Amino acid sequence: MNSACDYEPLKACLEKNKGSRDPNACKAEWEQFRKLCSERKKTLAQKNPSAECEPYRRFQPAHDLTIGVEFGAQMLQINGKSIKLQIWDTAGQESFRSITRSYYRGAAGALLVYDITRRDTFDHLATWLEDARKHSNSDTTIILIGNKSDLEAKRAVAKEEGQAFANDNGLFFIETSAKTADNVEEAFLKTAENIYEKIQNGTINISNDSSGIKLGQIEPGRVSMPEDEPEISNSCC
Amino acid sequence: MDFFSRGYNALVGEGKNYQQDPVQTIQKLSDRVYASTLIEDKRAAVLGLKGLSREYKQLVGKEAIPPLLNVLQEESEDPNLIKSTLETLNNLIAFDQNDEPRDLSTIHARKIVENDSHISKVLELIGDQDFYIRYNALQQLTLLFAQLSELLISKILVSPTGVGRFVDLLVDPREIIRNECVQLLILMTEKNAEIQKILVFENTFEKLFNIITDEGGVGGNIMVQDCLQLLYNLLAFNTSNQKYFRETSCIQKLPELVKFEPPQTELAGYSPEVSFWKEQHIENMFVLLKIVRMLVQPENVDTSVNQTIMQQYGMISPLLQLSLSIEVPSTIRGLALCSIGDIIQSNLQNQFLFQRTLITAQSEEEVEQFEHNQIDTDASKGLKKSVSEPAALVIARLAIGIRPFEMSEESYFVVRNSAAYLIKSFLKDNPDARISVAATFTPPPIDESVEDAESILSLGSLLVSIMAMPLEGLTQIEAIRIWHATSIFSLLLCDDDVCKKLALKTSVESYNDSPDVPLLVALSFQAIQSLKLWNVESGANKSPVPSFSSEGKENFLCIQFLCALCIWTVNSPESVSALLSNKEFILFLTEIITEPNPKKTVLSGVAAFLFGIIYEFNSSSSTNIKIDELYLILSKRIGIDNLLLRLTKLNDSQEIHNAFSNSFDNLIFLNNDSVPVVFDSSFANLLRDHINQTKSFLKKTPDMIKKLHENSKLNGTSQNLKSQNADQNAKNSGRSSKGQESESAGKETEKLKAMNEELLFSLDKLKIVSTQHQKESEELKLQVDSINAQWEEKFFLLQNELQFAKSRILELESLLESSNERALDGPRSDFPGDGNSEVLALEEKFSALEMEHDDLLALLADQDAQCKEYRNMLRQLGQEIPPSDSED
Repeated sequence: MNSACDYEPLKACLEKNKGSRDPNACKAEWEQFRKLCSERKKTLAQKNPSAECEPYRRFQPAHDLTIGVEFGAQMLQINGKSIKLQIWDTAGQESFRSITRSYYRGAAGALLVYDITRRDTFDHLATWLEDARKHSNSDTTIILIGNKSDLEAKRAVAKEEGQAFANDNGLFFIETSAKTADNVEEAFLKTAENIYEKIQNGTINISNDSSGIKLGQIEPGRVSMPEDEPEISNSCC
Repeated sequence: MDFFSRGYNALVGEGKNYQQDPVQTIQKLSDRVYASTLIEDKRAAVLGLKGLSREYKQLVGKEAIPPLLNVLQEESEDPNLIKSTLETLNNLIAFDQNDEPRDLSTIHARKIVENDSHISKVLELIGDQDFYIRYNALQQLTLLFAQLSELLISKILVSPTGVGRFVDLLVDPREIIRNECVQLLILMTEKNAEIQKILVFENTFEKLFNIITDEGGVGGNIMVQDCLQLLYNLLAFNTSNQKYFRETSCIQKLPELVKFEPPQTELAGYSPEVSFWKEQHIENMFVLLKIVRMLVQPENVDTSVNQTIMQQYGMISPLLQLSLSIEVPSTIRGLALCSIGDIIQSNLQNQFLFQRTLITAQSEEEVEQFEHNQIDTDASKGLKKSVSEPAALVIARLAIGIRPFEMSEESYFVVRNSAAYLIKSFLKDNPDARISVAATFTPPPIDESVEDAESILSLGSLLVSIMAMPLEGLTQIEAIRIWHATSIFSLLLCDDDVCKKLALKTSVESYNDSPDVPLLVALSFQAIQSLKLWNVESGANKSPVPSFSSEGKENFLCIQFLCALCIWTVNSPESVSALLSNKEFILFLTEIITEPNPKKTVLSGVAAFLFGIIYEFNSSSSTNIKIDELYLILSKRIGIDNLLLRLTKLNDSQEIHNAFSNSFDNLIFLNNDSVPVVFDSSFANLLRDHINQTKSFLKKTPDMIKKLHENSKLNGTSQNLKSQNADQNAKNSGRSSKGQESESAGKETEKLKAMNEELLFSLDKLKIVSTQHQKESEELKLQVDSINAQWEEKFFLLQNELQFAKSRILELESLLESSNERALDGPRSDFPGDGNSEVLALEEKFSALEMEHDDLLALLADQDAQCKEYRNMLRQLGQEIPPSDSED
């Protein structure tokens, strides 16, 4: 994997984190469950990731609800390798639940998000986790996220409770604030690192189509135009 | 057949001649399907039902559906049984012409779909390894979808792995299954965004590209078309999927597919008229280009990103290749041209690159760039081969140049429209390109050969020469190139004062035999000419050759000229006065407006609008026709109300409405004998924005307008002054702001200096303070030293004193002793004379001492007594005290 490092394992996954501050939106939202899947990601080693947008940095105070499922992408660097995450943001409302179940198969990781200011979102975690466990691969990395950590005054779920739930269920745990972007990147990184580790030690078989992982490759046949950046050398494998 | 007869015989049984009642038979069979414990019996019963299911569809449907569904749920062991069950059900839901009632199959389908667990069972079965089971299950879903699409989809979505199973089928090596699956997915993705997204999540894009590549890309069979169609369905109207498509580098795969050249088989001859393109190639490329255009459709949020990616990955080059190859079918050339237009539209960077693109006509040797432009080489034999020309010019020639000899104007029509679309996309929102085109309105000196001239012209002069070309003898379709040229020209001038000025300076070398006619005047003559031709023909009555415009139809070319004049003259008094130098023209307008033909609302409306603009902006001092004359014409000949009415009618016309809807797709469509009127959006916008102002001007008398103009002139000059002032101010403020800047910089330096000084000063202060402190501490040290010294001195002093006192005591003691001795010896010793007094003194002393001694003894005795007393007290209190000597 060294010299042919134009091909890097890519991984990915996650879920876009968002917070909704709009009271109506809150009411409607059962739970923010986000799942992320890393799927078939492709990364070009050395491809400049700076051009990528950072979906999770875009916090809007009055966020519109996720309808069904939305796709996003994110580049990360782990151990110097570029990794592109495919993020499938699934709606947390009960009415979308049957649809969101279709997105577990083939996900390399899942971010289970609750709102620390709303106890009910925490109380529903068990059902979501059960869904995720039931429909995903056994080696899918799941991370528990308590969001809105900036609203300490309104906190309804203690950090220790979240940690305890995570410990009981073998999940990673982190508290984030989508508003201040606090820990958000870390949450994604942590998930991706864990997946990366699993690839490195062979827990995840990347040749399996349902692993949700895909090696990056250099597209062949790029035609370079005058203004184009220099062609990336094509490595054979 | 063996199965069938066995099953049948089992029931028909003994009496072979006995005709059984189908109702009873079906009931019996259904019961058996339910109740049999032996798999063979069940199988036989199902086969029996299958045999009857076509002939007695209604009866079988009524009795057998629940038991059949039950079989599928419970029997998973026997593939034959499952297969026949599926087939029987499929028979029941397949639509048949002879169904009675008509919706019989729909009724059956509903029964099946509404069964709670059936659909997820069928989805399981399409994953079965057995070919027939897989195939029949898939077919069943297709049949159900045809009847109850939405209900079926909602059932499929409930199954978490349902959609994924379809995707698995895309890699099925058995083509029948794979193709069937693609068909079904095309249907399912037409409307439902959820299905679209899940399919994409399951990696359908990659699998489709794999199939397309395996099948040979655009050169492949109908399977490629189906896959492309599915791709299109997944992307259209689904921004999430479009994002996925881009993020997973799928856009990059499109240029490879577009690069297609049909294999040159020996069957097709060498003539360029014989195309190597097969019908299927055209279909495939058509869908592919539809996908390209969809990704860069104007106004979409992601369009500019997609445009850039397409540009970077070399999409333009193969598209140009398609656009310019004469053997490519017109529909594909048109679509390719439009695709380029969409890729560069409103994207300055791409427009700029397009502007710089050169096209080299084909020559014997391999020329690197885009190969040939056969049109050129055919149309202009004199042209030297392998001359590189700007792509924009080559494309413009497609739009408004001479068509190749071997193609009819009709089949070339699409290419012209699309090329014009591309040129307009190139100029839209691109002021630099407009000016560079406008700068070439006046052609460089050229030789006389008209045909050759056309290929050497620059884009600007090409436009001018086409617009001013003689109209006589042209058919309607041939006139379309003039129409396009005028349309592009209008776009150049729209709201662009620089281009208007350049156009005003342009003149046509020879128009109607007169040399150097100003372009504006030439256009006004062209408008008159185009209408005259039409008038002559309608006057000549029923010319068998459909030409410019037949009776009652609008004259599309004349309208286009008038529109261009509107755009040119609005807000431009110089242009108005130049136009009025053609005195004929205003009479011509008047005629159109007053013509009582109710069908020509568009033509008379545009003429009315132009008249209004002329009336409004006829303020130049050099004008040929004074405003009072115009007013006379307006009020006496036309009638103000009449004019306003024409304007209103135009504004409400369908043609204007169309101009605001999709700008290309209704650009023009050809029907047999006339070209419909289509407005450019530049004219339509002008009309919408300006019509109210024009109307209000038309209601004013010349005096009012003059006043207005004077005012506005005054205003104008004052505005000029103001703006000059403002400029000056801006400059001044620029200067002063510069001054301010340097001032503020100076101030800052000063501040810094001051601060620096302050700091230095305080540093000094600190230094002083610290030296002071040092001094003080030294002083303190000295003090301490001196105190120490003093203390030591005192110490010595005291010691001395002490010693002195001690020695005195010793002295006194010795003195005392000696005096004691003396006192003892006293009586016996002789005292000299003075010894008596001494003795007396001593005696006195002695007696004093004795008294003291007595006192002391008394005190001692007291003390003793007290001690005794205390001792006794203590003893009484219980303290043990040893008896003292004195008590003994």
